[in-house]
Amino acid sequence: MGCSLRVEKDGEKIVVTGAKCKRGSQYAQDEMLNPKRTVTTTVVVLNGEIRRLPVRTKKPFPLRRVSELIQFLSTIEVEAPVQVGQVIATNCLGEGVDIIATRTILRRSK
Amino acid sequence: MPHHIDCDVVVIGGGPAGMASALSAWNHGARKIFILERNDYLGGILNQCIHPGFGLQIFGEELTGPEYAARYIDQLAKTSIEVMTETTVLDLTPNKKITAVNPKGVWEFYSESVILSMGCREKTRGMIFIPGFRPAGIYTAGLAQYLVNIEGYLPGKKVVILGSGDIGLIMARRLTLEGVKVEAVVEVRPSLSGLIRNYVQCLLDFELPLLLSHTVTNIFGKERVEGVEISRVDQSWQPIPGTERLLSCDTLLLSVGLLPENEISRKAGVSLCHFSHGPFVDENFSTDLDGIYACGNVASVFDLVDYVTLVSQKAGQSAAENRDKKPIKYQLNPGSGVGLVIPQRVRQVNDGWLFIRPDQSFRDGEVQFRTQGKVFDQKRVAVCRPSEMVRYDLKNIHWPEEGGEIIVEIVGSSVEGI
Amino acid sequence: MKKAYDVIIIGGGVVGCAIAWFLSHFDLKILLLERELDVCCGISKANTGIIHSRSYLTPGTVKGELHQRALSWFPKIEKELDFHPSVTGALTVAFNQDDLNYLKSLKNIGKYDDAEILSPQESLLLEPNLSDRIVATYYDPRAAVASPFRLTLAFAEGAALNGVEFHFDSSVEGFDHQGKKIIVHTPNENYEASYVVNAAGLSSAKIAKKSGDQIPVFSTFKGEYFLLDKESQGLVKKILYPVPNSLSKGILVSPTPEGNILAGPNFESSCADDTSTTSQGLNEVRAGAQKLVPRFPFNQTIQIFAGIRPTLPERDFLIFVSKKHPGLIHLCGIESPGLTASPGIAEYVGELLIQQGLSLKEKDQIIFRKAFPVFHDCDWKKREELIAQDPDWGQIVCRCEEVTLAEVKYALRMNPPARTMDGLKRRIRVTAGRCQGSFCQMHLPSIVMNLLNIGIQDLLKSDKNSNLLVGKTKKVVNTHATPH
Repeated sequence: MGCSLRVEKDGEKIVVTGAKCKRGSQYAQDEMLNPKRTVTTTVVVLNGEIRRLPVRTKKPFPLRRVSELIQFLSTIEVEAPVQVGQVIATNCLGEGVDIIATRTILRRSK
Repeated sequence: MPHHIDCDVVVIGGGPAGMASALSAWNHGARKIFILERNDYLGGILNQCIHPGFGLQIFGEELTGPEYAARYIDQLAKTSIEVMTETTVLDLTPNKKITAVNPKGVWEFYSESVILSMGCREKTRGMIFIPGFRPAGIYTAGLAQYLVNIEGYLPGKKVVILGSGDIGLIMARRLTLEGVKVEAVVEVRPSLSGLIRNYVQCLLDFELPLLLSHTVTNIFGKERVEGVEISRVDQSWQPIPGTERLLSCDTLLLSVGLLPENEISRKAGVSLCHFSHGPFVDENFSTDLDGIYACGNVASVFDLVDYVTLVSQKAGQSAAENRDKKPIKYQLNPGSGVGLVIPQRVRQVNDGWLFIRPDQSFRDGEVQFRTQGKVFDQKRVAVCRPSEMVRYDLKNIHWPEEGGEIIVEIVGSSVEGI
Repeated sequence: MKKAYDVIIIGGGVVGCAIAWFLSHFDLKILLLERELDVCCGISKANTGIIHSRSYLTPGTVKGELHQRALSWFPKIEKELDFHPSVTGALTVAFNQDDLNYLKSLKNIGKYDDAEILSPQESLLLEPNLSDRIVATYYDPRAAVASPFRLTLAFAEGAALNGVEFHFDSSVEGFDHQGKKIIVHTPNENYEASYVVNAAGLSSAKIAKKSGDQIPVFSTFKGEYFLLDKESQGLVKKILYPVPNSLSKGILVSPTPEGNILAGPNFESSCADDTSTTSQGLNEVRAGAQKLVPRFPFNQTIQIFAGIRPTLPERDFLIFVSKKHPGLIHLCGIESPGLTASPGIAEYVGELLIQQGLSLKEKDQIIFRKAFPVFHDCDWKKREELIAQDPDWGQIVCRCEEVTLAEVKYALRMNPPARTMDGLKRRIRVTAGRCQGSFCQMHLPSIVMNLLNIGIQDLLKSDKNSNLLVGKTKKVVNTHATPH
């Protein structure tokens, strides 16, 4: 799975060799300049079958701001029921990335 | 009187293997199908694997564990497959009679086919003989993952992780994101056990140290972990005297191996394979007992859930069709460089796959297939690691005319470092 | 206001609990003080679990005499406490002529009709996995194994049912004498008693010093063990002993009542509170186990652990009345066969108390203890009945040992109750199975916190500082993710 890339900085330019597809090339450039990651964590869910809702960034998010994102997400509480795919927060920290739920959690039966 | 249920297929375990095999059985015509799941919900281990890395092959998307599970839970809802949760199977006879319990009583299932999909459990401290005290704060990585992700509990404040397999790496990141200090990931091998991508995104991103060729040789703390002693190891993984160092921590996380959970399989008398630690299976994931199939991590630890789905679909199809089996033509065994092969028994090669797990990391490698001492086929493999199974379509291997024992080996340059 | 008792027992090990049970047959106000959070936390927690149903000890020793006395107690223990050792039989194994001479002496001392010296062939027929380098074995069919936890808990439960109070987290810090009374100081409370029994095991010398008594110096020796998966049940069916050396009974291989296999203990010098296993110690146990069973399957190990024994120079029990107060009795150096001898020790302590003026008036009625059902040991009919009575019997909490929620609830409610995870382990086997808690510890923390109505800070493994969890997620501090 995957391929091995070679990335060099040539003055201002970034040179990528060994990529098997265009996506690989783009990925390598991003990793050098502005690495991004899919961030996954949990948030508090109230009145659900379980107490934590797993969530993810819908698209990759800037690595250098992951701490802030995590801090922000630790303040969120979601009320059950919640559906997988449901948007929990939009345009987090102004980076244009939404947070979505990755699990359906029903309301807790009494 | 126990509840008496007659049915076509019973699936033991409602994780990815159970769900995929039940659906496949349904799609191949079986109708009275039960999934017996000990938890309150379906999904198995996927529920706690909240990180991405699932479904690239099956769905062409990179999903998180719960999202992958949701795809199958949705499909199940469109069938009349019956799911019984909070139900624990305690017995299975060679005649396929299943006895299970739940708060509603004792249940006996009499089924045409039984699919074993109980998954696996983790290796523990006692199994790897780490001396020292037995304080609170020693956790297997999967248990810690459950506590953090499902229950919302923190197992500790300062952690040393033993094992650089993917579970250990993933937990290093997860704990860091929850504010826990990860002191180091300690690995007994001279090279990384898990995927490079996980090394980058779990360790490098957070500047967490990886100590290769080291292991934990003592645990301190009478009541709660206070620290661990680590030592450098030689090529045979033996601690080198004089290299001991103390790492202060309050938690030791063990990511030191998975064991297929075959207690039920043993009760049925299914033959178990010593290198996969699961039942001997053929390319359709039939065990050696008629009507009993095994798929997913109970058969052998798979690393990609996509592969679990594929083999479980085969098992489900076999369980629905319950056809007479052709005689075994090839018996596969691991040789040098190979930890396990699955299936270990091949009847026909027109369909299905062979999965091979290397027992170390290789560069510029070649997988060699031997019979009677002679290599009859070989396949190049640029890089391979213990954490990634190599997969071939059975029909793409140039099998010998004559059946018999086949040894699968890997030769190549060993890899040191990442 | 101090609380006043007739007798205070210090120490909740098997001996302290046996004394408590014995005395609970009489019209007395009894208190047992234990410094840990549960019974069976010291020496009693980690030992070989053998009931030496036959005595081969030197006559004239205290341990010999009390062991003999104890043997006649077991029928009563079975009846009143519903506690049953598992009779397995034992083979003492000889590898050479000297060993054989020892076996012959055993036969002579014991003079038991059903015990005999067997040839290698006969021995191997009984135990096929025994080494074939043996020259003979001495077979005693009556030797038995028992869980030290189960016996200690049986005594404790029986005592509690019959009025004994148990106070935990009550370390004894000192004594005062007020005429005929003794005042016992603990951090939380002061108590008054006419008689005090110091059965504090590894701390007995420290306690005795607090009363101004001199106790001969005793040494502590560690013994390490391997415990094997139940998959190896049948590896040996009897206890296998080597010929003892001057230090100890040696490293043995034994089945356990629950179906595991145990190997150990070695004998190494250690501090009283050091129950850590060591590579050297484990290697000694390996060698000893392999000598008896050459193909001992160490790859089936599920746990390694160590226990401590206190030994006096004379290697005998020391039980005596204090020189500082006529109502204070000290016990010291209770090593092997302490587990078996415990009821005999209790009876002897009773006699000393009478001698010191305590009047023992038998109660009209004694409540017998009925052991709580063990789901794992019940047949399917019984299991069905239990679930019909209470659905909690149908919820499996520990997969390896087949333990149900009903048993968890019982263990938390019984007297003395489990208040820690190890307390649950001792009573109902959770975390004692092959996965060592990887499964049950997923759900048990929440279950226990709910049932006991406690928070994370009070969820403990064993001692006060053995927190299992440190907090909840979502209190994130100082995460630092950097581009590389």
